Amino acid sequence: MDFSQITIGFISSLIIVLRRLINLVFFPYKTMRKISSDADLSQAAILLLCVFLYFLLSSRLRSLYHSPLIIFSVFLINFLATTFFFYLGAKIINREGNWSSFIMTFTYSLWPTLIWFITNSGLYYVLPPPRTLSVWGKSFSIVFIAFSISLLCWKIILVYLAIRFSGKLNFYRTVYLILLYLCWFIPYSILLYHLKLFRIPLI
Amino acid sequence: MRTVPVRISKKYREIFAVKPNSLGNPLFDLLYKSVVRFFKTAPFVVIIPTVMLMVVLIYLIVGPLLVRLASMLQYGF
Repeated sequence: MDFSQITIGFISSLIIVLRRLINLVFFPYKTMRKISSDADLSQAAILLLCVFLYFLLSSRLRSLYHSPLIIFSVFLINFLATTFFFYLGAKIINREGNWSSFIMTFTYSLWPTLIWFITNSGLYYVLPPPRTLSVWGKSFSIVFIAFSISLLCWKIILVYLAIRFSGKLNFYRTVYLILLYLCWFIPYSILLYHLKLFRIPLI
Repeated sequence: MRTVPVRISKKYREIFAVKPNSLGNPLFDLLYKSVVRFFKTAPFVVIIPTVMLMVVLIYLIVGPLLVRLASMLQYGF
């Protein structure tokens, strides 16, 4: 494969990623279903590169305890562990699904998290905390919390669809796997917080 | 013999890759389907007004705690 083919492949993957990121806002169900049957891991690589760029940006805005490369490596381990957990769960329950499908759907489900982290970093720079009890402070807090919860709802929808389509699981089994995941992920997140790696885990 | 166009058969395969959800009770199924249809297309049309209303109500109940939570979240990245 020569350089021009690699460039064309990268640009076409980039266009697909951008289209799907927009479609995930308006048609999450259809788009996630399509993503789960795709095996083009270069799209996942583009999204993971965006996460790395975010870590570089946040290290400039705020002094981090660890270097962005270490934080990104830990994120990558978390991410792979998460996808592998759901893959294994689906394999045990249903004997279906493949890991690359989970990687594809879960990288796309990083989109709401990434939006929240980028917006939060921008707001930290423009309107540094703490918020006051003035009218502006209260109004900002209400809008900010509403924005955060809206993105969380979107994230939950995307993660649910990712597990459902990649693992071909029904509602109860998907919820059961998510609860099992939270059983180990919440204590693990607390550990990451104490190690000064993540305040809120990017996953 | 008529053949199904490739695009349509591909679309059908995609749609039927996952079995429709059944919650084991017709009432639950009805509830599930009536709620889920709002989230399948443009979920923000429902999510944003609902969440906004919910947050205003929470503010009326807990007051300044919400402002503290916003400050805490702003340090969260």
